[in-house]
Amino acid sequence: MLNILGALCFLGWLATLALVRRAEPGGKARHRAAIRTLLLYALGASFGAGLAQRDAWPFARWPMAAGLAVARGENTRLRAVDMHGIEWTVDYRAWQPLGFDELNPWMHRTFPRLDRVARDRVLQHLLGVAERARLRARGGGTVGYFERYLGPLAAPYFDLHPRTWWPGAGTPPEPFVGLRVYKESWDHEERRRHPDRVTRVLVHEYPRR
Amino acid sequence: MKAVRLARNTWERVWFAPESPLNLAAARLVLAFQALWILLSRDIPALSGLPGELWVDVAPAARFRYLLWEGRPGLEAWLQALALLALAGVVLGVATRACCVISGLLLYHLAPLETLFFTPSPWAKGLTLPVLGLLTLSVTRCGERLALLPSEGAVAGNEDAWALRLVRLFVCQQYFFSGWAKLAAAGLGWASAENIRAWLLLANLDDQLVAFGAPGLWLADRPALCLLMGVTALTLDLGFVAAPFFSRARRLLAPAGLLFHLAILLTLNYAFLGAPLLLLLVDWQRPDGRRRHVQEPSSGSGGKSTSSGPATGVTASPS
Repeated sequence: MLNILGALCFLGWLATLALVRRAEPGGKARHRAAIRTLLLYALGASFGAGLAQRDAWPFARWPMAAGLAVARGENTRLRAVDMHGIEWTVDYRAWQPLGFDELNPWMHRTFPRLDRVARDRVLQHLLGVAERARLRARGGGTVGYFERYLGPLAAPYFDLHPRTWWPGAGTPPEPFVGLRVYKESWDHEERRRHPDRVTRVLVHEYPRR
Repeated sequence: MKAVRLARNTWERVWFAPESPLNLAAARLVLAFQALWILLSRDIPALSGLPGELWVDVAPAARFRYLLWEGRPGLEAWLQALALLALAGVVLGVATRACCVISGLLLYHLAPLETLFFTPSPWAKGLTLPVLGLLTLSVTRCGERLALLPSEGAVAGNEDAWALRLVRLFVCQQYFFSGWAKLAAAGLGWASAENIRAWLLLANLDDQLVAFGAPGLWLADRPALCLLMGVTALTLDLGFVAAPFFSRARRLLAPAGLLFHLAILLTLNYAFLGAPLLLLLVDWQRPDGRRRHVQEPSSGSGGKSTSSGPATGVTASPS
């Protein structure tokens, strides 16, 4: 429903813009009247979305850090496995073109609901992505490729992440042959005192052993 | 009747008081550079090639809303190339109106592709305001200044002052609605030391999400500073509602906003990609209305106030 409303809201916005454009040759008064319509529409749509907290992107509700932070933390972690069975951290840039900020919450929310075959297909794809990134970085190329045009001036992700791989020797040396998905949970206050107090549960592994 | 007339005059003065065409042209550049920055820092078309399993939660209505379907990375790459070309036109000031509308529509199509498999709203990805802003400018003479091929037959850009104010309002809504969302979800308790500490711990304990851990954790252990941070954030967010219409507020809030983002970056590890758009709040040139020669006759429909503010020396609230 929100998708339909959002689409209609945007189409209405385009219609008011077209109205202004059409009114322009018709004289100043007519043009000004069309602009007033556009302004009223823009105010209605943007404040409607924002104040009602119902997203109608591009009229957004901007819920930045809204709400009360919960006492417990949860997340999903993807770990790569090499041919010797050693687990490796995968640098957040290795998933590009997927952004970690979308991939990780998707893995947390949606991935566990997929059937086993679908999970395998997803991890097979991600394994290929991560291995290609490892090969490129191990060979001295960049980790990920989003900096291909703008270098260090490229836009960061919304969430900052630590860089765990470095071109050349700073990248895992052996080919990745598997992926493991873990669900992690912790109590914030407890983890503040003891950083390793994290419960980790294996959700899925590809290929299955 | 008097109240209606007053309201109408205020409306006219707020939206139609003169504004420098240079500021409008600068807004065009800021919006286009922001969109270029994001597009050239990502590979959005490639996301169309993700396996179908990743699209399992995408509602059909969301696909139709943005005309996005999986399995078409080649088509999306062409559309992005067209968007980049149009944005170059916006920057250079060549066929500016056409380029604004083309780039705005293509960004509306492309931006959600970055997040669609997870959420249909890419509000935090840095392209929200370029979509709104470029489409707004597409019906103005924003190509009159700072352009290789200035708009033909252009008159003084004062008639388009409303567009700059609307774009500035969109910028400020990011903050105002962010403050509103905090109040709506948690009330004034959002700013409490306990909640800010909880947010700081949330943002600084998961090693996958932490680039700067020490400042946030240091702050989390100091309740008075947490409370100060919460109150400041909420005040700043809500205070932004004044910025589109008061130049003094803009002069204060634009740099304060940048500092705010820097503090958030260091303590919460959030890089707000809309931060460069605070440049839209900068008055690069004072309104031409102050030079008096651009006073315009009444439009006959409440347009009297168009020139009343600046001509009488009243610093019209919009500027």
